[in-house]
Amino acid sequence: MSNLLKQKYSCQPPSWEIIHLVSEYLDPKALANTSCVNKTWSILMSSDHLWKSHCFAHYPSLFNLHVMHPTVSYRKLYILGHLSPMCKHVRPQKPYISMNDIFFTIDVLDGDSHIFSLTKAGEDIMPDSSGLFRFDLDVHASGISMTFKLLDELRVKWSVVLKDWKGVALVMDSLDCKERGKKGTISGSERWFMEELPLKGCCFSLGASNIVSELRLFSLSKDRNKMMKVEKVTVGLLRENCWRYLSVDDALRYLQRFLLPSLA
Amino acid sequence: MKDSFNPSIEPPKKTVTLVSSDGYDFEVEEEVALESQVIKDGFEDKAVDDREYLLFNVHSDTLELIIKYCEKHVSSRKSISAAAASSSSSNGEEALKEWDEHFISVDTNTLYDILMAADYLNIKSLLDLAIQKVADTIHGRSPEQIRKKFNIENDSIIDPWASE
Repeated sequence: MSNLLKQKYSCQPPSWEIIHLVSEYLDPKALANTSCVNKTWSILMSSDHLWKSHCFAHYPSLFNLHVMHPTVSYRKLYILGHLSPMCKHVRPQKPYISMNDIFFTIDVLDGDSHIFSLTKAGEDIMPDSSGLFRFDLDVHASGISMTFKLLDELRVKWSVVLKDWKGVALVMDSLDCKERGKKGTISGSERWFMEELPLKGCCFSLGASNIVSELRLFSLSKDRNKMMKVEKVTVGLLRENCWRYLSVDDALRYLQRFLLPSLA
Repeated sequence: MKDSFNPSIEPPKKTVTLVSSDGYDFEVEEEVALESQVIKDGFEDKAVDDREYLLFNVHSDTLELIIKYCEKHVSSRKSISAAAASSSSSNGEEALKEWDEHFISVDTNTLYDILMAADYLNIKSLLDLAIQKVADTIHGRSPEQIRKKFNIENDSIIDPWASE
């Protein structure tokens, strides 16, 4: 059949020999696209010798892994290398929970005996102006008497509770006493509690989350009778390595792992 | 027309006969035929009066184009090196590139024929040219666009009605 005659027919699909020859001239993106064309193309474009040079050129460190693990294909290594830089740029998912889905409960105890409790729904908490997970809880509105005799061993519990009682995260159960040293400090009319929080999924406390919960009780006046009247409670979550407060989204992402265990 | 393909240059140079798959003889200058690595390999071992090559895989239409390409490249190389020797400025390389681009701008089936013939005859520069032409068509296209461009059916998706 002459070429002139052939031109009258529609363009013939290329033979596998042609695809095979062309495959060596394609960049990784084109190889990936062409391997989705059909079965023949898929087989030809997945041939590992094609990926070997691309893997070496783009990800030499991964390329060397093939020496240690010859069963891992260069194509697989290339894909791993290709995906890894993308992970860095992926914006973290919006947390599944919002401030409106949670409430805080704070208990102040003398040893094991209860002094007072404070409960604040997320929507009633004044958000921090810079979007940080740090909140001043107004105690006046609660109408509870927060005056108590200042004791040596003051203990606070702060829980974050998911509404409808689906989950509770105890983010602080800390003592404020002289022996505890830096865990809780007394400075004038302020009581400061801190607790390092665990990594979710670790049964033992080896894995540190680098997240610290913080709670402060403020009192305007401290009288001679060692009575303390709490005027303000501040709570927050900080990053231990830089002592900065977490953003609300980061904090919720951390908390949701405890509150929604199915996500973990 | 095919039989008249015989460069009449005086004095007659050493020639080689190439026979296409459909039985046409092409008499070409030795140096033109030697552009093909396959012909070049073992060329010296062949008796001078036996320099006839049966190219079973190359149709006369394609062979004509291949010869045209090789002749152009042989003559261009000569003029480029001549220009270099006389240190006169020359845009021979550029002109040859342009010529190549024009040469390879053919319909798809002809392109495939050239590509396969260049592979068979092992003419590296022509093979590169043809493959690059096909690769350029593929680069930047989605799988669906490639299917359309190359007239390929997608057999990856299982058609639920196919069994009927």
